Amino acid sequence: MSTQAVAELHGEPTSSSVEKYWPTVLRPRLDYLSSLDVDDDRVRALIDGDIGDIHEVIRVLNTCRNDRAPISRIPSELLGRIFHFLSRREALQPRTPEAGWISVTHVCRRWRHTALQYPGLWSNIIFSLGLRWTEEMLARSKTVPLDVLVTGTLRPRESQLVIEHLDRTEDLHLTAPVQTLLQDLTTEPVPVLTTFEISSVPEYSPLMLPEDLFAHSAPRLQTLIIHNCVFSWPSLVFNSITYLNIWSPLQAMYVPNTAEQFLDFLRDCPNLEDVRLYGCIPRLPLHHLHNIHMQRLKRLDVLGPARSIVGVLDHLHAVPGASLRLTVRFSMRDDRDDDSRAVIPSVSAHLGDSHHSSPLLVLSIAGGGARRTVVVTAWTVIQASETVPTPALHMELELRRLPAIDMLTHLRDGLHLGSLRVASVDTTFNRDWSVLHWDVLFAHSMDMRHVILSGQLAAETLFETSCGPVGAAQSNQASGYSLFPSLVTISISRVNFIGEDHAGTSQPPAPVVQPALAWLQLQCRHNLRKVNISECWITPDIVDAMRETVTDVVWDEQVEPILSDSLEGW
Amino acid sequence: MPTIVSVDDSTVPGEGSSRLLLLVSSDNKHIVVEEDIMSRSRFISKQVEGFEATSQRHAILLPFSSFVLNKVIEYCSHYRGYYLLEDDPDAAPPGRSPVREWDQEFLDVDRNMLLRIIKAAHYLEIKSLVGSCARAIADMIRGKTTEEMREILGVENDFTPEEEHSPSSKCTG
Repeated sequence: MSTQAVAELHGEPTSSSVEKYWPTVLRPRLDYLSSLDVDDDRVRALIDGDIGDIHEVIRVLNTCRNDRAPISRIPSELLGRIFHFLSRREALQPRTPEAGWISVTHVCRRWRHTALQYPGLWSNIIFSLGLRWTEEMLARSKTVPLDVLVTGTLRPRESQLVIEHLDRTEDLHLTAPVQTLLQDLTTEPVPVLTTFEISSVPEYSPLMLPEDLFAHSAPRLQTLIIHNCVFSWPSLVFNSITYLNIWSPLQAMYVPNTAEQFLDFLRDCPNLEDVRLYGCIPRLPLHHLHNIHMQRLKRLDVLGPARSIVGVLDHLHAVPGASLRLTVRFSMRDDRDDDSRAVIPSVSAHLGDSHHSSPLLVLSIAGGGARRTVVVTAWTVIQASETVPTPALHMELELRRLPAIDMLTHLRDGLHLGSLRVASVDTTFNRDWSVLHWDVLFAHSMDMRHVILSGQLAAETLFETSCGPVGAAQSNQASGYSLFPSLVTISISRVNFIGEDHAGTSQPPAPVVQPALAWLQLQCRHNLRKVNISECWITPDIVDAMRETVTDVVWDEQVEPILSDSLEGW
Repeated sequence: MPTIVSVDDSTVPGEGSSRLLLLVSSDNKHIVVEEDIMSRSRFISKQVEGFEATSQRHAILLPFSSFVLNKVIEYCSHYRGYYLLEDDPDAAPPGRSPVREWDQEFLDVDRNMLLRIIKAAHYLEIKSLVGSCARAIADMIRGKTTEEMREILGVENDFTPEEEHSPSSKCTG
């Protein structure tokens, strides 16, 4: 028996009923409407009514159809969860609202109902769409914790809304001239606030943070970000904070904090794990005021004059394993005492260094871009993985009035690089590198196993360390001298072995094929076993010539050098 | 409520390092799986606790097909022994969990299958899988117009004219 026959047996309406609708119901209705002897407006009104009824029938059928859609078989709370993901950007900015998600409320009745009933969807409070929108979001968010984002000037009623809902605000981001609002933030405690970010755009005067921010009561505050604001260190004491990020280059001009205030702040925030201080450290005395124990510190970033950085490092006690990122900039006010070299002994002490056993196993040296700087990155572990482990040390040292060679000598002696196993030299953004730099920096690194070089200058100079200019190669080879007698692997990138001018520059790079082959032959007499080549201008003939010398040559032909990037160092 | 039926000892292989469970799908397929693998499911864990009280072994009848159940078991097997942040309601507020590459590949299935998996994960109370599925479905419709969303998920506009133009709808975009 067919499905339709079964349905008719049970007296259920079937699709055949719909087929009969036209001849049995609609046609007579049309005939009736045509036969009416009334004015046209009256007939049109009747027809409009019929059309409305038919639309309603279609709407009801659409609802029935939607009920049978696979997406309708999942519970509303899951649908709300999907909308929730839709309303948030992934990855880098997981808590930033994404525009456009709101169109889910126009898809169908169930989706709209679900969205309106899911408070978490409305908890990203913004003011840029107008007061009515903000009030509607606050109402729909019911009592869930809020993310409040203020990016423009607020009207009094909008400021009032921020204050009224502070008790359930979890994240508060103020990136606008909100000085008036800031004064109001002193009266209310913030029981659930976990993140407070305030930043003023550089075009405006710095915002002045009040002394009694949040009435000194923010028991769950973990993340504190302050950019281009002026503050006193005592006003920031919230002992639950774990992440602190302050960028305040004009701080000293407005509210000169004392060294004691700064150190007391660090002492009173014992949960700090990640501290990033850019241009806001008061000048600390060279003699110890008192040691600050920061047992939970995992990362310390400091940007400032050398003397300030030395002051911080010398007052912090026991941060074993913490990653240090230091950027030495000469003070705008007074650079008489500033010398990048002064930082190195303090760094060495924090790394747990001793004269005979340095913990540093991997060192990277690169130029610092526009400023005349040297960037030093070092690790205490060797980890072969796609993700680079957190460095123990990252320093950007400004070389004002200081020859680079002098700094490298200081690095070698201060950081005791005798234990290095891996070194990376990138001359892509450095025009000053020479043979002497190799010799000076790595003079004591007798156990170096892997050298990674990037840039034409790095290659030319390394190959000359033992071979000298092409003409002198024979004599150096004969002597058997090698800067890296334990070297097993060398990785080479962004080097032009061919010597042809790919960029149309007036001075094409010198060919490095012969010095390279001579250097490889020499190293193979020691321990060299492997060469990695990537992003280089090189021909199969040159690679074959290398393979006659070195057991294992890996050439990644798939990776082509990016011409514009590579030109910098040539 | 799930249906629990008593089973003969011979149905379930003997106890090893991890006890074995018998899961019965809606298409009456019997699937034996180690308890450890399914411990990510709060629903299963609660059932097992109930078994211990009666000292009788049971099969757990589940209201979804063996095809879907096997996908869920594959997920649980992959993350066996791993701590996943999203499974800890105190540690991971919704929407803040990281995207895992393996999950993306695992959920590269057709739309209907994805919806069946999220429903099963919800039933079994596997929060991390629910989150991954919800994210995958959200990604399907991210950046799409209303019409495109309807097309992708097979739903129709069923608003009344009044609802389409109601004042409250103006505050929905």
